[in-house]
Amino acid sequence: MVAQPSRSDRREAARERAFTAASLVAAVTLVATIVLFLVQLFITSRTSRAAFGLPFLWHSEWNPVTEKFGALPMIVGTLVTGFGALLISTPFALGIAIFLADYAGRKVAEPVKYLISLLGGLPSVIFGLWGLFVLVPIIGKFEVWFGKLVGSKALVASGTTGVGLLAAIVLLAIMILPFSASLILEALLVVPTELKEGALALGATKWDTIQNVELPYVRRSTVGALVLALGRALGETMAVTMVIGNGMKMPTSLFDPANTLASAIANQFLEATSPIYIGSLIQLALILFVIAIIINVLARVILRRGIQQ
Amino acid sequence: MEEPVIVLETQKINAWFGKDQVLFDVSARIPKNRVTAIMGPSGCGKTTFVRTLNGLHLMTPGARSSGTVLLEGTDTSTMDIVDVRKHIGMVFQRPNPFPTMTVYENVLAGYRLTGQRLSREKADQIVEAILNKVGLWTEVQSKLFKAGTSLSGGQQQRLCIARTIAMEPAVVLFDEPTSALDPKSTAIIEELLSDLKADYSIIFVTHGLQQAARISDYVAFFMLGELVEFGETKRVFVGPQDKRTEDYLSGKYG
Repeated sequence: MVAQPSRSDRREAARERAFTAASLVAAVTLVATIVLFLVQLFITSRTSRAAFGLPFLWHSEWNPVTEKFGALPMIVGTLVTGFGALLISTPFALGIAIFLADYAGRKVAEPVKYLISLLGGLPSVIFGLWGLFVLVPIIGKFEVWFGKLVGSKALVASGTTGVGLLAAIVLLAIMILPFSASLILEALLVVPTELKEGALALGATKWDTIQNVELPYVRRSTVGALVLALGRALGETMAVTMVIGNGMKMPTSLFDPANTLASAIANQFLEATSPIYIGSLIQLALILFVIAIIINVLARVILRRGIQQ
Repeated sequence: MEEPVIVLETQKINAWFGKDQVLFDVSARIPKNRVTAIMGPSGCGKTTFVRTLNGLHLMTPGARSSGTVLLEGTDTSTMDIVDVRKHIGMVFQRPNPFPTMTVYENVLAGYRLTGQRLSREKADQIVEAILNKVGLWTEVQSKLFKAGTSLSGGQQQRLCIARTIAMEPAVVLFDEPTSALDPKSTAIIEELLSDLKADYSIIFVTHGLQQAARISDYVAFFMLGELVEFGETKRVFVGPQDKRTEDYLSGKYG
């Protein structure tokens, strides 16, 4: 044996190989898990596909007794709650981010930032519990008041419960707020000082500068942040399940009990005993999976372009 | 030589970052329609001095200042800071055109930022006149609606000069505007100064002795936060009155 590579050198090389192999295995496992996961969902939902085919997507009847299943009410519920929550929370998210980036001093901004991340990390069952015991009764009262206002007997009569789409929307708006606010804040914090000073030096006020220099600068990252927040809202399960009311009919008003794809699965997987019922629930999961992937890819594309710009 | 008209006067300016004092009782009288160079070694307070003139110094967290700035006889502390900045423009060390605006929009950025609306005609007129003034018109005529950041570094810096003088300030502060540029772009901007001083009073921070000698009519020499010597450039370079100025000019410190 040639003596040149010392023993410690050789040991070093062996360790290098071992680590490379170990991390490769870990990486492959991750990819394989995702692929297997999809395959498994696809296989176990085949009973539903065999029975209903593609029309599963636009049929609005969901009846476990007659074993007729269609996903439209849940798709609508998912999109309405997701976009509704986004609509409500976006102005607040922007306001919070702008305030913390440009108006609050460090003494205020730091603790508030900490609170935001704390709120973002709160288990969703806590939001759900709060939603059920605090938010839902308020919305129930609002529903009755609103019913009287527009003269709808149905709302006054049926609407004292408060569970339904609106409760889910408001709760989701609160839940995604810390997420979008902190992402927008991060974007605002990297707007170059020289650009802000350039605007100020021209006689712009702080608000002029925010409107015309900072917000245009973070436009893309803001859209990306909002899409990511939307993704969260679409997939949120526990809290929504607790306040949305497990309604299987196509919702006709914001006060109607409804279901999202996620809450339908959570609400019903225990009752699902026949293969076709199970298959249909798993089919819902597949649809949600695809929506989540689309949203995430979209956000990533937007954010990457934002960085290149 | 006759006494020049004074456009801007500072009285006992002091400035701090937190507990560190960086300017000490700086009193200077800046002549109108002249180029006044602010020179001195790194960290002597040149940049801080010009940033106290338009209030940008105070934008840094923990920064303070004291003293009086008189702009054409008016105490600027009695004016709205936004108005002060309209009268005292500034060009920065690194070109900072607004990346989300076109060349055209960058020239008019001051109007847009301060909410002044211009008719299309008037806007076109200003853009052409101002870009001509900074010698950019023929170069960028075909790129008016491209992003301001698509221009070369030297062109970007002239674009920043354009947007500053588009607001018709009385004084323009230049904070080492050529330090990030190549020699050719530097020469173009230096040449530009002699045209600009017919309309504006210029305060030009520079790190380089030669540059100060080339471009300025008056020179202020700063050291360790003090204004050591102020006078006509020729006089200061030929016969400095302070020992420290003499040492600096003879290259004794950076």
